[in-house]
Amino acid sequence: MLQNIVNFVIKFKEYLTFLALVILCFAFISIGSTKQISGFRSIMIVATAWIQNSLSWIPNPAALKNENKALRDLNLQLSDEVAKLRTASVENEHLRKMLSFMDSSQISLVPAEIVGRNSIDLKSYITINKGNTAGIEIGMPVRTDAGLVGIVVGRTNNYSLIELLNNNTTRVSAEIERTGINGIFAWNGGENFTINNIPASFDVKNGDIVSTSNYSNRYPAAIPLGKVISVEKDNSSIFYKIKIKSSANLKTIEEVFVIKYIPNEERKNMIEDIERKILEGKKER
Amino acid sequence: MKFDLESNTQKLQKQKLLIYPILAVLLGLFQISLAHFIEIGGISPNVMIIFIVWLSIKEGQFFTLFAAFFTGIFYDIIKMDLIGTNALSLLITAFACGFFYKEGKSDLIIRSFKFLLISFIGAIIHNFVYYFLYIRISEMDFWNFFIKYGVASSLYTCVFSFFPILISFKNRSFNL
Repeated sequence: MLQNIVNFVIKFKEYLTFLALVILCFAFISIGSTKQISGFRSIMIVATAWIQNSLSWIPNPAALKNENKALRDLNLQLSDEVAKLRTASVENEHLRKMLSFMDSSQISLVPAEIVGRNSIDLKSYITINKGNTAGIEIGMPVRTDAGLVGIVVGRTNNYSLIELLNNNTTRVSAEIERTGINGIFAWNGGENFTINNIPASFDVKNGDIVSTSNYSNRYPAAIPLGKVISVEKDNSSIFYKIKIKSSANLKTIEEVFVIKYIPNEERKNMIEDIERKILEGKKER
Repeated sequence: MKFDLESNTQKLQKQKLLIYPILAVLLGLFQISLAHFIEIGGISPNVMIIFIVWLSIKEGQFFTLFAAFFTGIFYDIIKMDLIGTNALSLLITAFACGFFYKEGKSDLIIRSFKFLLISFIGAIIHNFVYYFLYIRISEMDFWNFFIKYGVASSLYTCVFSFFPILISFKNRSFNL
């Protein structure tokens, strides 16, 4: 009997090993937590940042050309806006004085340079040259002058790893500035982004500016996300199909600002608790 | 004489157990820090797949299953991915490509265009599994995404699998 079992195992050792390892993989996937290996990941961030830093002298002509074009466009827009803002600033100051408004507190920003860029299997990350010593923490949002870029997912003393918006996990609570309509900003797997859950009866137009909303616990409100480039009515759904062009050019960014904004722990824990309870409830059913 | 032969085989096995992990680490570092230099339209070749396909042809299915699992776990860690996703996709790739293993004919297969075909099949299987897990947590359409990125990435990986062929030809000329 025992000999038969041994023979069976030897005969089908490849299949049995494969099965065992597949089960192990699913076990890892279902656990999902990666806190235990954060130390090892920190070492890897330093190693890759070092390699990328030492190779940063290699020019990337395509990226430079794109960046130049983006900067020229931005320059044109900004010079137009500066003229408008000058007038608005004088008017604003006057009004503030009149109403005795307090200056709203500014969230502090940490400027950082990009020393590495990883785009692996459509997961996009950048490595910046600021870390723990500059007060950067995991979960802080990252932006450029144009708009939101991503979020800090790993950090060491001198480097941080940023997960960019063009990622399958991206979910940002967004708002269409003109009308105040809220939706979920997500990546559609291509060049552009989408904004979901906006009913087809609502007022959305091409050119509308989309920014982070007050509902978001991960990002501060009013950071530009992008501009609406197409609004389609889908007959099979009650929601619009809206395409968004990102404000920040994620392919050509060279410098970013880390926003020293940490999500409210109490609010975050409460949401996680409720989500867990809902999931447990579903499993029990 | 027999003793010498046995000790040489053991020595070779030990060397392999040292060289393969080092190779996996180096390729992993290349993939995450340098592969973007050869990126076309956001798609870069996956050298980890080529490594696993090469290993399955060279060492057979059983050995490569373990190698794929540990390489995948390592790759998941350095890629900041959900632990198990790359391990699973590389494991299935290794299992499938292991069927192409023929004892004593590994070098012949690697030196032929058959290796390109096996790499393409391996890459397609890997990308199918990986993108299935990748898409799972988003609202993207799997087939659109797979055809757009999965097939393109598999073709690019297939092109890159010319390198093991060239290296094996070079090694042969040295041996001669």
